[in-house]
Amino acid sequence: MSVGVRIHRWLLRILPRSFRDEYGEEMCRVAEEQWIALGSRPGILRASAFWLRQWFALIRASAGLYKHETGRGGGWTMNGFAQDLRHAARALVRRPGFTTLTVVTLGLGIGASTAIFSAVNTVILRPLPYGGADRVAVLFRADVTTGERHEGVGAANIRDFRERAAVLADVAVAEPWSLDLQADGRVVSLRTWTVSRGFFDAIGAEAMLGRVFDDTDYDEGGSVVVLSHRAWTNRFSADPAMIGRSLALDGDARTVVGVMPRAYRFPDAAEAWIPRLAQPWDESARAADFMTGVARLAPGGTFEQAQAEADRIAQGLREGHPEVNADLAYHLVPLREHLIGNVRTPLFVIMAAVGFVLLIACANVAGLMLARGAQRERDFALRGALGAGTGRLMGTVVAESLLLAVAGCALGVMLTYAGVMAIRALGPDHLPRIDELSVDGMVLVFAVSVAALSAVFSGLAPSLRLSRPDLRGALGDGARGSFGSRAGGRARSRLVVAQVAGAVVLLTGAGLLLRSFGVLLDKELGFDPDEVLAAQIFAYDYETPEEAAAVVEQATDAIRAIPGVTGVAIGSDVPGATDGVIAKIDVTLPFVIDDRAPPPLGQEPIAALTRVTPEYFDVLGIGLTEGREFDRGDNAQGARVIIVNEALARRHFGEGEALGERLVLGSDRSSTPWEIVGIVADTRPLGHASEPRPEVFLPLDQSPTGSLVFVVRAESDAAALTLPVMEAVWSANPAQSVYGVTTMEALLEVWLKERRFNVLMLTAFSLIALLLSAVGLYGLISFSVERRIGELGIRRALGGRSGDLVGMVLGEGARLAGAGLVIGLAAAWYLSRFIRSMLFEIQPTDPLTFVALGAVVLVIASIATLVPAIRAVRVDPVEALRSE
Amino acid sequence: MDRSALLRAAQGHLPLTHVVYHVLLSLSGAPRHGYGIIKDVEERTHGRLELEAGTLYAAIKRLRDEGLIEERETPGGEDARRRYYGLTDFGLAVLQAESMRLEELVELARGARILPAEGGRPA
Repeated sequence: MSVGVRIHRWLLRILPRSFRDEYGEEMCRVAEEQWIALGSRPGILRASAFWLRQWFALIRASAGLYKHETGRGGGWTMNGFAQDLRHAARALVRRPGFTTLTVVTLGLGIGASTAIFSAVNTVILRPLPYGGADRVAVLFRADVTTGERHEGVGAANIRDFRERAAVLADVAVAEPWSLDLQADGRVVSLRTWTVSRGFFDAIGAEAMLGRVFDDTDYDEGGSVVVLSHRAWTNRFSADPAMIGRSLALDGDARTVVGVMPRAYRFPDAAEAWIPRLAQPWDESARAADFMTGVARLAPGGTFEQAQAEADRIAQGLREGHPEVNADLAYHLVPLREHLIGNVRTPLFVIMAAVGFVLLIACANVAGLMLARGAQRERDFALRGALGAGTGRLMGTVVAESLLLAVAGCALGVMLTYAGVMAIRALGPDHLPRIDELSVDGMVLVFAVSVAALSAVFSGLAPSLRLSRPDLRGALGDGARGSFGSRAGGRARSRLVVAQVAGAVVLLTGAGLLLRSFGVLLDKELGFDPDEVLAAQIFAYDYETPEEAAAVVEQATDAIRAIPGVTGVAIGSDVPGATDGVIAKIDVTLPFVIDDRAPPPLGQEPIAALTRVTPEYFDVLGIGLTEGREFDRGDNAQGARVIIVNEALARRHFGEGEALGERLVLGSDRSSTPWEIVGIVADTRPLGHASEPRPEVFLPLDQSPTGSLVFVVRAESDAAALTLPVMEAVWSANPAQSVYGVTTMEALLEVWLKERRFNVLMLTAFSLIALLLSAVGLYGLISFSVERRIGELGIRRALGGRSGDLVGMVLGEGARLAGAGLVIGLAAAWYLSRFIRSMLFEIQPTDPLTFVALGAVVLVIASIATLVPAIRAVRVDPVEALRSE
Repeated sequence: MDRSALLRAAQGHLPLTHVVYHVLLSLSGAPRHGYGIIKDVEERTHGRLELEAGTLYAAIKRLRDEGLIEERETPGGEDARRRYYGLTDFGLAVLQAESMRLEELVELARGARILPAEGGRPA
C-alpha cells in the first residue's frame, strides 16, 4: 500500500465515527483506485497535488458532516471543536499569505528533520541484518605498547587464537581475493573474500538461497562458492537454478552452494565468498594485518571477558612467536561499532542541526501566530465579553494550530520524500546501508509526532495569551491591546532573538566545516589526478615471467594506440587507492643506509615501496626535484637504482646529500644495495587528509611483480577510456581479467565524499535556518512598524526626518539581531567542540569563521529590517492619524 | 406519492450543489459504484470535474439520508465489496426538478440576450 493511501486511511479518523464505519473502507479503496489510475510513476508534483486534494476534501467533508450532525441535534460531544475547526479553516483560507508562510515554515522544519531522521533510522537505529549481531566483534591487531590499531589480522595467529578461545566462539578470518570468471568470451574479475571455517557462523549470516559453508566444505577441499545477491542478479540473471551448478572460477570448477541476501555485505560488498583453507605461507605471515577477523561471544560471555581473554591469548602468542609477534595485542570492536562508529557523530550532529531548524521553524510559527493574535485581539476580547469561556477561545487558536500542523505535516512528508531521494542521490557510500534508505512507518510516525509537537509549541503560547484577553486594553485603546502591548512584544522579541541565536549556531557549524573542507582541498596532492585513468590487473597466471612481461608490454602498446591517450605508465600501486575499485597494494619494508652504522634489528626505518615504469612520474605529474627519472636502461641487466621521495630524503639525508647514497632494502642486510638516482616530490597516499610518508620507487624491470596498475593520461574525459582500456588488455590476452578501472579523481572522491556530504547537509540546514530567522525578524519589525503607524505619522507631522525614522526602525532590528548574535556566538563557542572530530586543521573556535559569520548575520538582519524601515518613512501623516 | 406531490417535495431540495447534481446525473443512467461515479462524472465533464473520495462519500451519505439514492445489489461477477448506488424515484424527481429550474434560468438568460437564441450567436 502506498504511503499516500496509508495517510489517507489514517486521516479518516477525523470523520465522525458512524460515517467512517459505513464508508471508510470504500473511501480508501476508491482513493487507491484513483491513485492507481494516475499511472505507475506520476512524478512528485502530480502525486503531491493528488494527495493534497484528497486530504483537503476529507477535511472539508469532515467539517460538513459534523455540521450536518449537530444541525440535527445529534449528541456529538466534540461539536464545539468541530465548529472551531470549521471556523479556523475559513479564517486560514481568508489569509493566504499568513497560511502559506506558516505551512511552508512548518513543512520545511518537519520535512528536513524527518528526512534526516530516516537516514539515522536506517543507518543507526535499524537492527543489523545478521543474527544476534550485538554479540559479534571484529578483531584488530594492535601494538601492545603504543595501543595503535592495525588494519586487521593474520591467519596463523587467528587459527591459534581460535584453538585457545573459550569466551569467544567461531573466531574466523576473511582475506580479500579475486576470482576470474569467464563470461561472454571475456574474463571478468569477481570481488571475492576467502573466509575461514566458521566465518558465517561468527557473523550469524544465513544464505537467502541454498546455504553458507559448513565443515564438510572445508574438509573436502573447499571447491564451493557462495554468491552475493548482486552477482547472482547481474551475472546470472537471478536464476534460482544456480544452486548446485558448477562455475569455472580461476580455471577451477566450484559448485554454487548459496546466494546471500541483498542486505548482506560483510566484510564489504563483495560478489563471492569461497572457503579459505590453511595456506603454506600462513606461518611466515603471522604478522600480516590485512585480513578481517571476526568472533562471536559464546553464550553467557561478555565483551569485557572476551577482551580479557584476547589479552591473555595475545600474551601467549607474543611468547610463542617473539620474532613476529613481539608487539602483538588484539582489540575487539563490537560489529555495530565497527560498521557505524565513524558515521555516528556526523549523523547525530546533522540530526541536532535539523533539530535546531525545527525549533527555529516552531519559533517562527509561534511568532506568526502571536502577530496574528494581536490583529484579532479585539475580536477575541469581544467574544470574551459576550460570554465565551476560556476553553472556547483557546479552542479556536488550538484548532488553527492543528489545521496548520496537519497541512505542514502533509507538506513535510512530501519534502521528506524529496529529501530522501536527495540523500540517496548524493550517494554517501560511507553511510552503511544507505541504499536501504526509505520512508517507512517509523519515519511517518516520527513526522506526525514532530508535527503534533510543533503544533503544541507554536500554538500554546498564543492560545494561552489570547484566551485571557485584556478586555479594557483591547477595546479601549485604538487597535492596541495586550498583544500590541509591551508583554506581547516582548514575547515575540524573545522568539526572534532565539531564532537568530539558533541560526548563528548552525551557521558557525557549517562555516567551520566549509572552511576545513576548503583547507583540505587546498592541500597539494603532489600529483595531478585530472584526466588520469587507473586500470588494475593481477598478472600471475602465466607460465614464465617473460610470458607475463610480453602480455603486459603488448597491452601497454595497445593502450598507447587508443586515440586520445597521451601517456601510459605502470605502477604496482597508485596514490589514493583504497580497497575499493583499485586494491591498495601497500608494500612497506625496512631499509638501512649503506656505509652507516645500522640500527638494531627490528628498529630500522620503514618506507613504502612502489615499482614503476619510467613514464610513471611523468604521467601522474609527480615532479622530479633532483637527479633523474628512470629510463629503459634501468633493467635487469643494469645497475640497481631507486628514486626516493622528498620525505625520505629529508628525514635521512642532509640537503642535496641523498643522491648517490645507497639503501639496503628489506630485512636481509647482505643483499645488494640500491643507489638513489633521483628524488621526487611527496604525494599524499590516501587522499587530501593523509600525510606524505617516506617512499621508495623501484624500476619495474628490476623488480617485477604481477600486481600492476596501468596509469593512463587522456587528452580529455579519461572516464570515456574505461572500455577501450579493458579491450586493449584483452587484445593482449583475452584470459587476462581487469580487476578494476576508475579515474584518479573518482579514487580521491572516496576520501572527500563523507566530508562533502557533511558540509552540504549542514550548509543547507543553516541556510534554511538563516532564511527562517530573517523571515521572523522581518515579520516582527513589519508588525511593529504597522502597530506604530500612528506614532510614526505624528513624528513625520512634527518634522521628523526620514533618516531618523529609518534609524529608529533599523535600531530596533539591530538590537534584536545583535542580542541573538551574541547569544548564538556564545552557544556556538561552547557547542562547536562536538564537531572537532569532523574538522581538518581548523580549531572549533576558529576566530575567522566566527567573525565572518557574525558579519553575514548582521547584513542579512539589516536587509530584513530595511524593508519595513523604508515603509516607515513612506507613512503619510494624514493617513496615519486618520487610522488611529 | 403521486407525481405532483413528488415534484412539490422535490422543490424543497433545490437548488442542488454541482457535485450533487453530477452524482445524481451519473446515477440516472445505471447503478454505479463509487469509483464508477467518479469516472463517469470525469468523462461527462471532459475532465473538468474530478471528485475526491472524501467529497463523493460525503455527498453519498447526504443523498442516502435524504432518500435520493439507495444502495443496490452488487451485480454478479463484480467484487462483492463494491457497493452500488442507484437513483430512487424521489431522486429522479429532484434531478428533473433541478434540471427544469436550470432550463428556466437559461431561458431567462436568452430572453435577456445574455445567451444566443438556440443555434444562434450572442447579439
